Amino acid sequence: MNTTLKTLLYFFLVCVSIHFLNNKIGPYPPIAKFLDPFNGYINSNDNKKNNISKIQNEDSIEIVWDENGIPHIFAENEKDMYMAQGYVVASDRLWQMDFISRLHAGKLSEIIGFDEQVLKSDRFMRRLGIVDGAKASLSTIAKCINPQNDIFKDWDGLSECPDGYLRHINHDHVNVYNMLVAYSKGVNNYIQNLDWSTIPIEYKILDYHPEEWSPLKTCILLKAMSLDLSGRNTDLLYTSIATKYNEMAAKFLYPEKPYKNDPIISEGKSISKPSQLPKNCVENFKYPDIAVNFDGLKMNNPGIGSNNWAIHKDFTKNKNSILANDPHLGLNLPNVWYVIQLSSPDINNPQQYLDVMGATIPGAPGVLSGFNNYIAWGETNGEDDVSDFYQIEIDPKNKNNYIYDGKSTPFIIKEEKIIIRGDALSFPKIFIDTIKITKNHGPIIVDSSNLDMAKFNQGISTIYSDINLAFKWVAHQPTTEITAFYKMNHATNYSEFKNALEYYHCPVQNFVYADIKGNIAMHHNGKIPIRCENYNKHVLYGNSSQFVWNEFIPFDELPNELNPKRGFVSSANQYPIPNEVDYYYLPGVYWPAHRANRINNMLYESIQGRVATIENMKNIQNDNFNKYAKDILPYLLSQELQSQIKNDSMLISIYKSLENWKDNPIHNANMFEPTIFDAWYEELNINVWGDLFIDENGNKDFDYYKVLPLYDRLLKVIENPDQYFWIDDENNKTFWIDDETTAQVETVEDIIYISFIKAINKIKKIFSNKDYTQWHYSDYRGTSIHHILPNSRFDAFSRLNIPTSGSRWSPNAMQNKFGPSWRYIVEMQEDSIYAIGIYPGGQSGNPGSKNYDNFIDKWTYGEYIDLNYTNFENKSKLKGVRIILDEN
Amino acid sequence: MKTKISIYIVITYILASLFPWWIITFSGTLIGFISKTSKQAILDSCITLVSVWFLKLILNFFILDYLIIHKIKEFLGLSSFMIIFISILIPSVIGIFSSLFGHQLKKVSES
Repeated sequence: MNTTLKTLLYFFLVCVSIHFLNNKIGPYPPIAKFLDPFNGYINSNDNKKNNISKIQNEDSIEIVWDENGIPHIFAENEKDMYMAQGYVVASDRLWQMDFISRLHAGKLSEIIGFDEQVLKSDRFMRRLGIVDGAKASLSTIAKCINPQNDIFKDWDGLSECPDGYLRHINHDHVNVYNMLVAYSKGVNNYIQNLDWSTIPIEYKILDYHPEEWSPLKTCILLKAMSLDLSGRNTDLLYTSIATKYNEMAAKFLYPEKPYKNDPIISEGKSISKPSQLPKNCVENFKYPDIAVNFDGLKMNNPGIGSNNWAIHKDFTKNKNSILANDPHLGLNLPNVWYVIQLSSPDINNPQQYLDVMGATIPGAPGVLSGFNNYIAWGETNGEDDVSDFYQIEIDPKNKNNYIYDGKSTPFIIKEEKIIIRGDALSFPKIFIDTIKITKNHGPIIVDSSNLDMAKFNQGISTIYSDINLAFKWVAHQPTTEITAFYKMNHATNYSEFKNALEYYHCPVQNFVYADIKGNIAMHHNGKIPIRCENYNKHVLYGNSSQFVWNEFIPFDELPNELNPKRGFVSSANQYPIPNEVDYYYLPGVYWPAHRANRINNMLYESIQGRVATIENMKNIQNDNFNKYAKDILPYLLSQELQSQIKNDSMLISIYKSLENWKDNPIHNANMFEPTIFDAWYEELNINVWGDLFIDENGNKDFDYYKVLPLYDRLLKVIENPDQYFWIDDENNKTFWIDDETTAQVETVEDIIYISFIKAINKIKKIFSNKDYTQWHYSDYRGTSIHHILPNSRFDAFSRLNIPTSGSRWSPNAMQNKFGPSWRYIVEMQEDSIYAIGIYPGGQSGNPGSKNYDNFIDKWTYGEYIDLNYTNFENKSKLKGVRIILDEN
Repeated sequence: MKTKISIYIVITYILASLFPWWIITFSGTLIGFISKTSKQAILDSCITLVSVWFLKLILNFFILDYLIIHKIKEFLGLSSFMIIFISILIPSVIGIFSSLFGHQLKKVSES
C-alpha cells in the first residue's frame, strides 16, 4: 500500500471514530462527547449563579435563594422581575420546560429520532392542534397583523413581525404581553450563556441544544395543562358501550351525577337558574353506531384530582382566614411545579408592592397557585367535559370536502412535516402527515391512520379514511388563562380576584379564595359549553349544525359561593352542585364525593369551637382515612363470606382483621389491611365490570384501567345487587353483578367470594412466603416518581418505591404514579402572612443536584417547609444565598 | 522523553479544557507528525491522551460531588471500573488512529 493511500486510510479511520463517538447511536448518548471528563456529563452541575449578571435588567435586582433553593426575587420594576424569573427558572428547569413544550408541539422526533411511540405522539399532538390553540391564545394578547387586510400571521410573540405586518398589542393585555416578553428574554439570556459544557445533562444524553424561548412556548405549556386536566374524553367509550349494549347500560356506567354527592357549593340558593337554555334539543337523537378503541386521549383514568378549601376567619383560632390546596397530578421528576417569590412595585399601583409567592409551572411567568399580601388562591380540577367528538361525513364526490348542512364544504388541509432525527447510523427523515380541519367541529384527530399502525409506519397517507372523527375542544379557542393568572397575582381583594376569573377559560377549575379581611370563596370556573342533555356523552354526527355548541354558561351563572354560613368552602373534584338543583346540564366525569365528604367532615370538626389552625389543615391534607372502604366493607364482610372461608384459618384471621379495620379504615404504609382492600377492590372491579369490555373472541377490547366506571358504581351494585341491571333490546334483564362470560348466574356473594380469594392469591404471589401481617401497603402499592422521560434507563434519575401512605379515596390521594403534587397552606393575616408547602421533588431539575429530590422524604411523611415569604420591605431579613445585580 | 510527554500532556490538557472532546485528535495527529517512528507515535499519543483524560477523571472524582457520577453509572448500567475503562479506551483508539495519520502525513510531506 503506498503512503498516500495509507494516509487516506488513517484519516478515514480518524473521521469514522470521531463520527461514531460524537453522535448518538439509537437510545445511547454520543459516548465520547458524553464521557469527556472536561465537558461531558460531569460538568452538568448547579450553575444558576454563573453568569446571572448577564440579565439585561434596567434597575437593580436582588435574588435570595433560601435554604430550600427557593428563589425570592426583589426587583425595582415588574419587567426586571419577570426577566429574572425567566432566568432563574431556566437555570433550574430549562430542559423540562423545553421538553414539555416540544412534546405538546409534536416535535419530539426531532430530538429523539425514530421511535414508533414518539412518532405516534408527535402526530397526535399535531392533529390535536395544541400549537394552533396556543397561537390563538397568543393572538388575543398580541399579533402580527397586516393593516391592509387585517390578516394576522403565525408569530412566536418575540421576534420581529414579517415585512408588511405590524405588531398589534391588545390594550387590555399590554402588561401581560410585556410580562411574557420579559420572561422569554430572561430564559434566553440563560440559554445564551450556556455552552455544551454547562448545558443540563438531558441535553447531553439526547445530544441536542435548546431553542430560543418565546411567549408562544409559554402558551403551549398552558395548553398542555389544559390537555392534562381537560383532555379526558369519554365520548368514544360511551358510544362504544351504547353501541355494544344500549343507552341504558352506558348511562348507568358513566353518569354525570355521582352516587351520594356532597357538592362543592353547599347552599343551593347561590346557584343561578339558567338564563340561556340550549335550543332545539331532541330527546331521542341519533348518534353514530361506532366502536373505536382509541388510546390517544385519556378516557376515565381516575388518577388526577385535587383538594382545596378555605376557612373563614371567624372559625379559626387566630381569626385569620386559612387556605389549603393540594393538586393531585401525575408525579414526575423534575416536579411539575416550581416555587418562587416575586416582588416589585406594582405596575398598576406603584405606591404598593406586588409580593406574590407560590407554585408556577416552569415556562410560565408569575404564580399559578399561591398568595400575595392581600389574597390567596388555589385550584382543583373541575372535571367538566369541554370537548366533543363528531363523525364527519366525507363528500363522496370530492374527498377534500365534507358534508355540512347539506353542502359540500372544504376541509382546511395542513401538511405537517415531522423531522425524524438521524444518528450515527442513519440519516434524518421527514414524515409528512396530512391533517384535515373542519370549520365548526375542530380537527380530525382519529382516522384509520391512527388505528392502523402498519400503514402508519409505512408512512402511507390515509387522508381518505372511512373513520373521520373531529374533536372540538374549548382549548382550541383563543383563551386567556395567562391574563387571568396575571390579574390574580395582582388582585388585592375579592372583586379584583373575581374580575381575574372572567379571563380564565380552560380547563375548568374550582378556584378557592381567601383574603386578609377574612373572606373566603369558591368558584367553579371556566368556559362550559351550553349543551342539550346527553348530547356530549356520545360521538355526534358532524354533518349538520345541530350538535355544534358555540355558547357558554355565563360567568355570573357559574357555581360559586362567598362566605357560606358553614364557615368554609371546599372542593375535591366532585359534582359541583346538589344533584337535585335545576341548573344547566353539567357534563363531565366528576369524582364520587367520598374524598370530599371526608374533608368536609374533618373541616366541620376543625371549626368546632372556632379554633381551626394550620395544624388541622396539615392533618386533613395528610389524612389517610378511606371513606369508601367504610361504606363498602359492611357489604363485603358478610356472614356468607365468613362461612365460605371458615375452613381456612388464615383467611378467617384476615377476615377478622378487616372486621376490626372497617370502622376506621386507614391506608397507612405499614399496615396490611389496605393491601387486602386495594387488591380486593381491583378484583371486584374486574369481576363485576370486566365482562363488558371483552370482545367476541374473549379478548379485552379496552384497557381496564382507562375505562372502568368510577368507584361509586361498584358501591351501588354491591349495596343493592338486585336493583341494578340493564335490559337489552330483546327485553332480557342482566344484572350488573353477573359475570356474563360464565354459564352460571353469579350472585353478589359469589362475586365477593371469588374476588376475595383471587385478591389473596395475587397478594400471596407478590409477597411469596411472608406472613399476611407483613403485607405492608407501601410494599404493595408504594409510589414511584419517574423521570419525565419514560424509559427505564432514566430510573437512575427517578425515585422508586417510596413508602407512601394514603389512597385514591383518601384526602391524601396517593397512588402509584399520581398523588399530591403540591401541598400548600397559608394563613392570611394582615402584615404577617404565614405559608408552608411541599412537593415531591426539589427546585433543581438537575439530577446531580442535592435540590433535585430533597423534598420527597418530607412529602412522604407529611412534613412541610416554611416558604419564607418575605415582603419587599423586609427583604434584607431573608436568609440565604444573596445576589445583587446592579442596573445595566 | 519524560519532558516531551509532559509537554504533550500540558498542551493537550489546556486544549481539552477549551475545546470539544475531539480536539484530542489534533494532539494525536501532531504527536504522530513529530514522532520518528510509527511505534513511537502510537506510544506517545496514547500515553498523552489517556493521561489527560485519566487525570481529569481522577480530579473530578475528588473535586465533584459523587451524586451525578453515581447516577450516570446507574444510567449507563456500568460499574465505576467500566466507566474508567471506557474513558481510557476512547483516547487510546483516537490516539492510535490520529497518531498513525499524523505520522503518515509526515511521510507524505517528506516524500
